[in-house]
Amino acid sequence: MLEIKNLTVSVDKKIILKDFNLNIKNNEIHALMGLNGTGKSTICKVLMGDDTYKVEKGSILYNGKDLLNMDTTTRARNGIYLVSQNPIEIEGVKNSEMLKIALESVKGKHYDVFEFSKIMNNVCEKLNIPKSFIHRGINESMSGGERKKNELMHLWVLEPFFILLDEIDSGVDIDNLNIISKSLKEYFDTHSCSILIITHHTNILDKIRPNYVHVLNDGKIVETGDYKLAQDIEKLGFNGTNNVRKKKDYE
Amino acid sequence: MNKILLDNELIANLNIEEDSILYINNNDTLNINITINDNKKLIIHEYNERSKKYNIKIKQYNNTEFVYNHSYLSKDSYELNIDIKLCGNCSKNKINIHGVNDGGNSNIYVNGNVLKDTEDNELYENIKIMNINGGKVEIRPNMFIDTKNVIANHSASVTNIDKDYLFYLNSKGIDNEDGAKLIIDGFLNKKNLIEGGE
Repeated sequence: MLEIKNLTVSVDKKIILKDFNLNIKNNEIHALMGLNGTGKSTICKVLMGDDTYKVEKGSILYNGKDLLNMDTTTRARNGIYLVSQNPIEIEGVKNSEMLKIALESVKGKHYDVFEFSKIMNNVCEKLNIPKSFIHRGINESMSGGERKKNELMHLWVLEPFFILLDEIDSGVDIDNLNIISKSLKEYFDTHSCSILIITHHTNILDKIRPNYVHVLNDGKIVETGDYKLAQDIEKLGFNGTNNVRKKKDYE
Repeated sequence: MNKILLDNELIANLNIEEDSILYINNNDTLNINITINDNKKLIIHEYNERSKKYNIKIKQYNNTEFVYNHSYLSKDSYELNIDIKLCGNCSKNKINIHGVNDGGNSNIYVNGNVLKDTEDNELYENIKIMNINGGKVEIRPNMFIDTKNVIANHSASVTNIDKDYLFYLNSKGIDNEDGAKLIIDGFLNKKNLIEGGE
């Protein structure tokens, strides 16, 4: 599904990712962990096509296509979806207005008001969120947990194939995290897709068990393991795990 | 509360003796003097897509409230002069102006006067203009305060279409054209400013 080779990325001439490699196959869940400032969120932004980040070298293939030649809209229409750490609020734009245009754009067909309402109502019921969310402004006056649930609502409507979760667990209380994790797991189990989870903690990984856990340091993956690696990191910290594990050549 | 709809050229003196909501849609010219009497409230909702020249003078006495929600989309010349006088005590005045200046010239002047020896008044001037396609914008959110007992805030900003907003909408599969339209429509809040629009 996704092949990242020797990717070097800079922001304002500062190198953030350096010869970064990662392969994610269909129906796999990968977790990326690392200290603050090691480039975890950068990889999400680059995959989504944020032009603040300059790709200096390397390649990204998505289902065999050159992702770097696609603009952000095209990437989204091809099924890539980002839930960012702090989903932004857009003044005056309602979820329903945005989602109808987005849905028609992603699916490439027209939905009449009744079809669209049915989809929205079904998603709200599935996520156990009030139907008033449909007509609320995008993330307007929402708490951290509500924003993440709102983004999850968008996800269920748009049905992406490759999901980037950039610290979806930050700013979310444990009850909401359980709801969000359960919903993501259900989505993964019922759709053909892959997930890349950026996180600092194992809470979310307890619920959405990854196939691979990678440790990012100094702009590249320095260690790859399974869920046990995440548990070691939680227990010992990143420096502690360096002492008890050796780098594996996952790539 | 009285509801009044104005959709023609207007030159008038309005004396507010009942709480009222006034909708003004697409006027070319407006020269209006408003007096809000003691204990009365006036809300004006206005949406405009024509070039225009506006002069509004508001005089408020004791325990009154005036809210002015004005949005516009202009490709030409747009001039708005608002003159506020808080003459009594315990009154509130909130001016909210959102505009999209699409390659034209916008001049927005708000003069808020809080007169000498008045007490416990509140004055807010909030002006946000989105300037696109090389237009020119001038905003003057003036406040002339002649008393120490007042709450007064003013803000003015001229921005482009927010790049982060556009990226967010692109990341949902929406192209730049539809994204910009959504952002502008949301910013102008048109549906809430037109009578029966919501």
